[in-house]
Amino acid sequence: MATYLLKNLLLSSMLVGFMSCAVPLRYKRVTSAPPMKVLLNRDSVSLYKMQVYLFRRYYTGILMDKKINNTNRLVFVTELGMKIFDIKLVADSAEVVYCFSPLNKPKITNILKTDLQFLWLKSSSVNPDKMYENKNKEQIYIVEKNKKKYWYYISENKINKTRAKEGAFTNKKGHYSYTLNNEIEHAVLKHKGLLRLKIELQKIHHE
Amino acid sequence: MRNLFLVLFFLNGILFAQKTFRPLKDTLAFKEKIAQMAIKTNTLESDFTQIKTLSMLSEKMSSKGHFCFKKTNLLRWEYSTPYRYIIVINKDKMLIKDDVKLKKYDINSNKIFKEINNIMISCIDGNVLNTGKFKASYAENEWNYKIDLIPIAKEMRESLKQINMYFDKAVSSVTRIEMIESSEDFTTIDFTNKKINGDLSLEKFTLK
Repeated sequence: MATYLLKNLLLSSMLVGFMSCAVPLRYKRVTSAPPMKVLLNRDSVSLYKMQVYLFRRYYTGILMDKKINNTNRLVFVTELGMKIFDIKLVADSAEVVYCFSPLNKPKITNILKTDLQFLWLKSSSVNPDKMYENKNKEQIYIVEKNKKKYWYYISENKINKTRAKEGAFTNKKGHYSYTLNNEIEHAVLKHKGLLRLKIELQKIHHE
Repeated sequence: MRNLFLVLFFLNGILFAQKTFRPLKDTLAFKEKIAQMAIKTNTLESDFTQIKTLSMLSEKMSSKGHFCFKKTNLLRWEYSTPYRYIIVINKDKMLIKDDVKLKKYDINSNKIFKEINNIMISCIDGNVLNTGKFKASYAENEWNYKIDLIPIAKEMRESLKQINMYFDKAVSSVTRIEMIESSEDFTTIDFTNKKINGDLSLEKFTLK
């Protein structure tokens, strides 16, 4: 009985795993589709309310995104004024300018770098390898880069959801919502699997 | 016209001289005033303006709100701009409330909050000189006393280069705190509309 149950559990896990990596049936593969438009904030400086849950620790504060040419400088400061990190995103690379010493460990800074790149859609400048479209003209673009797969779920020319599969235990998802001006209003990044990390951003509108 | 420039130059010199801090001679008397302030202050309520200056990016981030302190170890930071947010430190518990959620944490789980709040509490209750964590130097000008605090521990110096505290001449309470980081970024918190030893209920330090 136990063997039967175990076999069934294994089979259903494999099926779920297989289904989660597959493009839904209502999407058909296409050779051309609208270009991927990344609708990031146009302000030279944007402020976000930011919450980070990392390894059972919780950090909250303000994230400043300052755009200088093609560079995004992301500075996270707690409400009481303590700087947690300062990360520079340039095209496909990220550099840690500063990280608060208790967090300044390669494992943590690497996660922060790749996740902020992912959240800031920095890898989306690459042309998609595969494109799919459904009847409602919603698209899924798949980009393969450095043995990683990035999925972009697009509707009305906006990237609503992203997914990255980097390995068996590092599946992460990003969700985005936009204002009428096509600026990012809210974004959430969530790791699924063994790694517990969640980053949540809410745009602060100046009064 | 030339005379006007001379007068302006002279006035500017006087104002600069008044603003400039000079080393304090009678530090013992000043320390005694700080100790008295610590004994006398049971509650403190004030508005605050906090400005974070990011030197490398030439940007400033400012927040405003209301601050409450009650002996012993009870703090409430209520931010009104840029968004509504309340942080309460009640002994070992940290409560955070925004428009939607209320979260409770053990303050020991967040070292940053713990350390900053310890510094804040010790600055307000006057015990900062007794913690043994800082090397202090004292200065004064026409209107204020100033204490420059340099962290002794190397780990703390990696994040925090110096803390400057300003007091009015009556040494009734702290008027400004400056926190200078090793990257030269700094945060200033100005306390205004202060009410010392007013009624402050314990309910202020519990959030529901």
